[in-house]
Amino acid sequence: MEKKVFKFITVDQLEKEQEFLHDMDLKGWHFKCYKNLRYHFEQSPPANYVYRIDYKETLEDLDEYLAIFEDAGWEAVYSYPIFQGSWIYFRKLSTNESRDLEIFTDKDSMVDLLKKVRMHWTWFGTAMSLLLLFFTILNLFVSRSLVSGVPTALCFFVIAILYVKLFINLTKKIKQLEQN
Amino acid sequence: MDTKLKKSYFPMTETAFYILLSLATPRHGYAIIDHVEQLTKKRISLGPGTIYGTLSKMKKDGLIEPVKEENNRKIYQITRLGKEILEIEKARIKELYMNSKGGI
Repeated sequence: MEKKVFKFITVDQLEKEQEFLHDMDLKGWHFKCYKNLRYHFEQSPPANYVYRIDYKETLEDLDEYLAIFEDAGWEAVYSYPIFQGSWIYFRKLSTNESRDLEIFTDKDSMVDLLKKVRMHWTWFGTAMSLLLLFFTILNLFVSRSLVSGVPTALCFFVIAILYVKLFINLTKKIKQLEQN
Repeated sequence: MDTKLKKSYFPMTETAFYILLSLATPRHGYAIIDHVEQLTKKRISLGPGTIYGTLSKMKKDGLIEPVKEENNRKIYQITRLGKEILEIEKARIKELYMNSKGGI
């Protein structure tokens, strides 16, 4: 049996997403893929799999990258291509010893991941916001009624707020890590 | 040695130090994790994301180089520049150790 769950988790909340997938596993729903804003799960007996998510910027040395994870006991469950790279979802069965359940074990590599995500998503957010702003202003000149410009203006505000929030959250997390 | 390298490798993180030290002998990613666990009696267990990221960075900076490939597993070795950096770091750690014992 398959189940699809809509859940809105932004890229600055990877821990929340990892925890969500882990919780679903404990209930017997194993993560399959993410399509059209929905998480797809498949039913099987509950298992204590922990999930870790990485963003890989380039895919040319993907085989080498996956081999290191596989050797360390991590199974690549799903990859979600975006921009030039891809999100990669890994899982590993958690045992009583509960060791080696992190894919990043030092501050530098965690900061690197957050900086990568911040850079790509800030560029994208800025480009989207500028485009929407352009159409909003264009509408003011072309159309005679102000009302027709409302949907674009609204989209602009939503997108701008979302990406500014993302930037601020990621920057906060990076600063916290760097200060420790 | 340029200042950018100095800034990013001195002082070195424990992770970077042990990875560089492990590559005195050619090793692939997981072999490094295994070796560092043995050296530190499992105190340090490096994650694959950390290993991959550090290897990519060190390769780009010329501290290590791939020497061969076996079943998609790239085997790396320290370069002359890498050795030079490792020696400077070892001297610093030696000084630290001597001073901690109450004088050189």
